[in-house]
Amino acid sequence: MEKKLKKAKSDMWTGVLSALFACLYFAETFRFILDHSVPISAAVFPRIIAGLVFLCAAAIFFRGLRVYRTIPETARHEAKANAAGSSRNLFHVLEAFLILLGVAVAMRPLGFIVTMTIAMFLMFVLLEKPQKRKYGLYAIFSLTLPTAVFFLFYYCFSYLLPTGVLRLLLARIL
Amino acid sequence: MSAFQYFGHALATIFTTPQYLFFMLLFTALGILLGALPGINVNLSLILVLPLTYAMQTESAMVVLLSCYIGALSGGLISAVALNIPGTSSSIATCFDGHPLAKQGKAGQAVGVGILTSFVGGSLSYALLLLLAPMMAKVALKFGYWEYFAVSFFSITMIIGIAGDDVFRGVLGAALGMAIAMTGSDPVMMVNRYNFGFHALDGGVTLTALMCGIFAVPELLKLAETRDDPDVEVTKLEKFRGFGISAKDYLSRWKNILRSTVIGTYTGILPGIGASSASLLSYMTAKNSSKHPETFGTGDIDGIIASETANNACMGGAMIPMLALGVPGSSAAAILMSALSLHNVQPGPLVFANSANLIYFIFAICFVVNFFMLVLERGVLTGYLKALTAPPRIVMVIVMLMCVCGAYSSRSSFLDLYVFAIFGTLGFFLQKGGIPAGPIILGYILSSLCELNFVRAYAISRGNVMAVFHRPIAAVFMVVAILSLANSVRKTIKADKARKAAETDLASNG
Repeated sequence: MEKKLKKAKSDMWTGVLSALFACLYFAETFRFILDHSVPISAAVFPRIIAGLVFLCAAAIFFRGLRVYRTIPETARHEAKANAAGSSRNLFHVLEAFLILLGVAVAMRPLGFIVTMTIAMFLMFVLLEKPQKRKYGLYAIFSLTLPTAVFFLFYYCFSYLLPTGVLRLLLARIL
Repeated sequence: MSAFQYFGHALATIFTTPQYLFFMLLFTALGILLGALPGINVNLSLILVLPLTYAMQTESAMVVLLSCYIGALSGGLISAVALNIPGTSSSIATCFDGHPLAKQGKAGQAVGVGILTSFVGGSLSYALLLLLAPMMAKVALKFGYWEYFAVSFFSITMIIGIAGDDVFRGVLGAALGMAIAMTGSDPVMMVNRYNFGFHALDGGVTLTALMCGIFAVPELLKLAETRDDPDVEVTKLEKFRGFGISAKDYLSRWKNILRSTVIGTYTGILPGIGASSASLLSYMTAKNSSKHPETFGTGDIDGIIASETANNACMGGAMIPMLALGVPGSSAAAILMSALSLHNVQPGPLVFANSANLIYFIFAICFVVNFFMLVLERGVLTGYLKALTAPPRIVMVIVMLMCVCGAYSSRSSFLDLYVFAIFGTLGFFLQKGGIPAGPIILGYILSSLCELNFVRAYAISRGNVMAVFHRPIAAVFMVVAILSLANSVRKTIKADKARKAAETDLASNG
């Protein structure tokens, strides 16, 4: 029953969010600067796609709702009580996302080596249980791997990854 | 001289020139290594070796580039199986059955079969190329905009099957992929779409950043989500011999092998369709023709055979438009073509008459490199898989590092790092909602092809959409696509009814 409820809820959430996305996606097409002299405008395909997303979203939502209605009230409350603690897990997901977003934000000012050293260390720490963490090992991996990859890209691919705050130091080495 | 005489002469030249053999060994190994690293695609691998070829003779340059290309194309299957992150987009369909096998401890067997079938698919495709190249080039010339539209539409309907019994989730995934692809300038009138005022988005969202995000980030976030759960025992790698499959067992699947080779080669001939569509079409055809379609997606060897045979066979097919028509079918083919142009060889309809020696030399390189690929990739497989069985938390953080490099270096844009992070996280929630990553990426790849050809065909036919049914090849693809879509809807309704009946039975039995 719990699995059924979970699937129904997942269907309803997927349906609502996808329908919302489809509406916004469709509305945005009215902001395109279109050339009306052409036989088929640049907004046609996006509108078809928005329609397709909306139809699928509606089908998935109503399927979920139909199943949800068949589940007794008591089973719903039971499942709610069992779900306590899942928000804590989602908090770790949020932390991981913030690290990835931090990489995007910090890459230009800090450069590849510094950003990835910090990001890798934080990610190692985040992904491991507190009692099992090996900070020394993480520090070694986090420092050596981004540096090695930076020089690998430079010497093998002739490709300079962002240098950031180490610009002057790297200019002397490279 | 006949085609076989040219080919024999080219083979003799290769085997009597140690320099060519050394280059093949070295650059095939490099290609496999690069292809197996998530985030480094075939194009980047070719770009890496292209500058080395500037000072070389044309023949040596082709040896270096083709060795790296074939190696990288095949290497993509290792990370697809072991990490569920395709090294190249052509290995997406390999993930569907390869990774479930890896979870059962059979990663070695899955990659072994993939390597063997890559070799077989490639070799059969090159044989077809040798026999039929001039004739096939003529058929490819008959493809117009409607035919291209019909093929891409047909491919999109094939994607839906990946989502299993749930057609709505399959369509939703493909449509979301298509929606992402609409970002940036439209392919015909260059009208800016969905850039939200950021000019960095005018060029759209790059495939590498999106693919790294959608496939790698959800795996990373899953580890974060399950951090506090009790530790799950890491699946041990089962021992395997040879390629993980007996010759008898492999040959008993000859129908799948031949069908996938034909699909791969023919899809490769069509410029712009690409190896990812070829492997998908082949996978879906194998699933639909199987007596046990329900085993696909759970670790069926036939799924790996279909995908890997087709994407390697595509390589042989892709040579035809590139050499005979001068039309590069993919970015990688464009890089190969530019290398030919640098050496004053102009691909086009006259190439078979003007540069027959070089053309058959290229075919011979493909044959020999394919053999090197088989030996080298099998040789490094055990070591590579052992490295990947290190604690998943360590492996995934290193994969994140490589993906960040891949996402950024695809066009040196900081925006792609945001794409990687945001679409990756979105992919995690979509997977939680039951929408798999495969349809999203394939929808992304096929949508621009579909739109571009539809708009052009529509303009040429003066708004007559039914013109698609006036052209025999296009009409066949459209009819098959519509039938396949109807079949998927029928299956969903049937599955829903069966589920309802099972629930009613369960309720009535107390």
